[in-house]
Amino acid sequence: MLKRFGTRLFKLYCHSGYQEDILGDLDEYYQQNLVKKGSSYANAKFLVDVLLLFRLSLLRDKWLYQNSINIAMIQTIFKTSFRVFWKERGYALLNVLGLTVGFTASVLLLLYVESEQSVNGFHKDLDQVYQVLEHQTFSETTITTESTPGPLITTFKEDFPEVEAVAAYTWPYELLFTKEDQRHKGSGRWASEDFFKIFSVDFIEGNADSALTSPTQLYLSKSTKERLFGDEPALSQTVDIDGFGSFQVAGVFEDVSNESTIDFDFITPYQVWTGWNEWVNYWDNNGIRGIAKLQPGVDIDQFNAKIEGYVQEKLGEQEATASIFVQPLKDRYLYSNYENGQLTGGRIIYIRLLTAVAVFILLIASINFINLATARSTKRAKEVGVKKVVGSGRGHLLLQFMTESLLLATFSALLAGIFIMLLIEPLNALVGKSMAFSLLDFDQSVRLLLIGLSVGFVSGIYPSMVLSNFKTINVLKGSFKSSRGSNSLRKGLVVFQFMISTTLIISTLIVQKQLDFMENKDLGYTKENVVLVPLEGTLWNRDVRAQLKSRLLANPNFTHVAYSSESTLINSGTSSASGFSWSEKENELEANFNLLFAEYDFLETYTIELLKGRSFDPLLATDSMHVIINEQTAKLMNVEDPLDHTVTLWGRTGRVIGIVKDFNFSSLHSGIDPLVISLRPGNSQVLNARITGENNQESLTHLDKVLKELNPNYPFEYNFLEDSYEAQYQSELVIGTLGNYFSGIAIFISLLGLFGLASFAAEQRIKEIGVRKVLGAGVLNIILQMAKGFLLLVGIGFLVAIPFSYFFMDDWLGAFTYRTEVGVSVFLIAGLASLLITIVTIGYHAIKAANTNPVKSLRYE
Amino acid sequence: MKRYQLGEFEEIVLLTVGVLHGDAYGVAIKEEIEKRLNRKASVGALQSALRRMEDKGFLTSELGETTKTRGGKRKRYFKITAFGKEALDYNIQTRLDLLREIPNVAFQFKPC
Repeated sequence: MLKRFGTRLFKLYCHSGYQEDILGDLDEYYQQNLVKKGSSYANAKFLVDVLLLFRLSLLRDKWLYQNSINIAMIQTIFKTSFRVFWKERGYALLNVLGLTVGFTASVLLLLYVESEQSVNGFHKDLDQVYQVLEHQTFSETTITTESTPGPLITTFKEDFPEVEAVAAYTWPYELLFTKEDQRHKGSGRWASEDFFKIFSVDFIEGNADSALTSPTQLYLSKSTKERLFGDEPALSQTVDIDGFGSFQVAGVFEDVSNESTIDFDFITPYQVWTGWNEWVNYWDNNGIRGIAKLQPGVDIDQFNAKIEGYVQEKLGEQEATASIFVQPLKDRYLYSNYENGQLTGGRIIYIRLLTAVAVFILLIASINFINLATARSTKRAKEVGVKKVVGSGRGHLLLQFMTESLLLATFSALLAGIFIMLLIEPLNALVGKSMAFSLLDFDQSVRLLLIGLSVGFVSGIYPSMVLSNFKTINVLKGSFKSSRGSNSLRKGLVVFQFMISTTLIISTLIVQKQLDFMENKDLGYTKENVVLVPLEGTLWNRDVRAQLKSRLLANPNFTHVAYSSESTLINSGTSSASGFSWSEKENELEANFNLLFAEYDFLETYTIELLKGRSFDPLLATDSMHVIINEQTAKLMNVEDPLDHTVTLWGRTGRVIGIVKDFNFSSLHSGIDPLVISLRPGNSQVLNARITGENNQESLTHLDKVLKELNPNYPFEYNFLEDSYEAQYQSELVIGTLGNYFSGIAIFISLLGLFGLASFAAEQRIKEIGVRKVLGAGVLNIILQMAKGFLLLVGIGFLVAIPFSYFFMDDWLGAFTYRTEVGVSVFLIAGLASLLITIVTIGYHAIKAANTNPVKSLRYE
Repeated sequence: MKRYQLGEFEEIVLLTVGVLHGDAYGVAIKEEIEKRLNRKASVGALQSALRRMEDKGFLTSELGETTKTRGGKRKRYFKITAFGKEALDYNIQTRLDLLREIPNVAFQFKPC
């Protein structure tokens, strides 16, 4: 045992020239010792001798000299590399192109992913900052919102020692600021005292001390301040807020970037707002947003378990639908979807998806490299043979080939860096981000280089091994063929490439199909040609509103005008479970009714279909007591004939005067909920105007003119309902656009590889084609012969991609209540497309090969 | 003279190789040294001395015939080169010269 081990150890370090005789000597001693002193001594002595033989002068020569830098050798390696690149510049170019495009695409994607992950990351003590959320449970569903009971903010800190600070803030308010002749509108929030202690902002003027304690304090973002004051300092200056009087600027802070889930241009004191929102003082109302800072090291699951019944506790006898919990603010952006009280993900799915796409693109690019290198290996076999004959070791050859691949990859990475710098701005514009990339930035360029080197290493290692492993004799005999093993590996890799790129194409097509579906879905109302204008300033006055309506309708471009609390897009509107009732309503029925306050002509403006009854009538004064309901509400009421049934909504008892057909008033991710429409002009917030759509410019000019006259203090602001509708699906649209580009890139890189392989095949089969032609094969026949093999590979890749993408995308579509079917057409289109581009790609070489004169290719035989 | 430099152990090994002329391989040299000088010599020290002196050019070596003993491994026989002889002579000569230079008085060990 010991002897065998000793022998092995000795062979490991000893110079190979000395091994035989010294081992022989050792053997002789061993035999002597075996006879004289027994086996255990002999064995031990053998090992001791081996250990003592570890001497400088007996070591393998490599151990000493291998690591010393041999400049001449390195020079040779680089020189050979550049000569090879130059000699095979077509292939080098293909590789550089593929790798550069691959690096550019995947680094851009990774930058996007990184910027998505860094949303909300700017807060100090990020790990302690939490958003307060609330589950509202009704008999059928649980919805999760940011709306929480108002009194929570005053008691939360006292009741739970874990809470270091808590602050309330409102939904965004659009307010008009006036400073002498400067007018500017901003969107901001009313927030309570500790807000700035939790939400980190960088103050340029003023600071967070005693912030929001006095009712006239105003905090402005840098850009809002600049619009009002220019470059002058603003601290302690007076600004008028339309409808709220004078405020003193108490602080100016750096703009809150779009990297925050809570955004605002200004902050005003919460106590002013509560003054005219008395309802926030009750535990059974929701509406206030809350953020909290917990003590360091609080176990969040335990804390959530502790506060689960808090609202119920406060309500006492009355049954609570709400139950609060907190979510780390850093997770708020990526994990925002809750279904029935369970976190189901959110944007994180897109982040994972895009990361996967980035990795796959890199993979496709390195597969190109591997395939081209192994395919070309026969060309370099002679070089390997000759080098080996003159004494080059395997290690040296390995180094040579690795150097080549690392050089190519590094060069491509640098080139990609330049492209990334050029493309980052267009990408920013596309996805609405402010990402930055520069090769001069040390961190970023080092990371790019690392990606380049690792791809170079991964894709270089296999071909280098294959090449340096060639048997000298086989290679130099001249009848050398690349091994069957590397051939089938190459085929497998091509199949894999096309599986990935067709999966990407199919997925993108399905995303597009769903986007089209959402665009064209019959929503139950007409979303085109509706202009929305927020009601502000003098438009709060009902007389002015009546005047506006009649003046707009006087213009032939305007067909209908209606005021309402919301447009048909009710995403975070008012809702109530107990506020709506009828005599037969069972106590157990816990359903949440969405409330829409609409004035006359609302249904007509949106062409919402009335199934029964009538719309609100200006001539009937009692209509303000009555309601119109949708089919869902009618079903829930569960009475024989809901029409004309007596109902009570928030203290007003009237009748159901109409039932409208269900229309999609929330995102297509979810179904249609019960809706109650009531006539309360006091709650109107928005003007909905239907225009003909023929003279949009003229219509808008008219609207602008009338608004300027009636509401001169406010700048004209409008948007089209259609745009707001699309904005709902922002993340789907972004993913759709990114998908388009990046699946295109993936297929492009795969085709580059195919192009290279086709040219290689054409070259290899030149004699075969010559013989075929001599024997009478036609051009078409030869092209088919050439194409057959590649089409088969692409076809297999496509077939594997089908089930893969089907299950994946079916899952994605599952997140929509209203969804398109995957359908056969998508696969047909993708299949045909990949077939077609494959033919085009290899066609060039196939035609060229088929048209060569057989005399040329067979001349030297 | 640097180029003739020999360590004490090296010198003994070199001399032993000469003594064993024609039969000087590892085991034999070791046994010879142990027998004549009555001291232990480790394989490691011996082998590294041999190779070192081969590098310096004092010794040459060649592999012998394959035999059935020693697991079929060949022996390496060492021989002194002319240069080795020169070095040996030089070393011994310098020592002798030194010895001769010592004044007679130095060896008169009378009690003072």
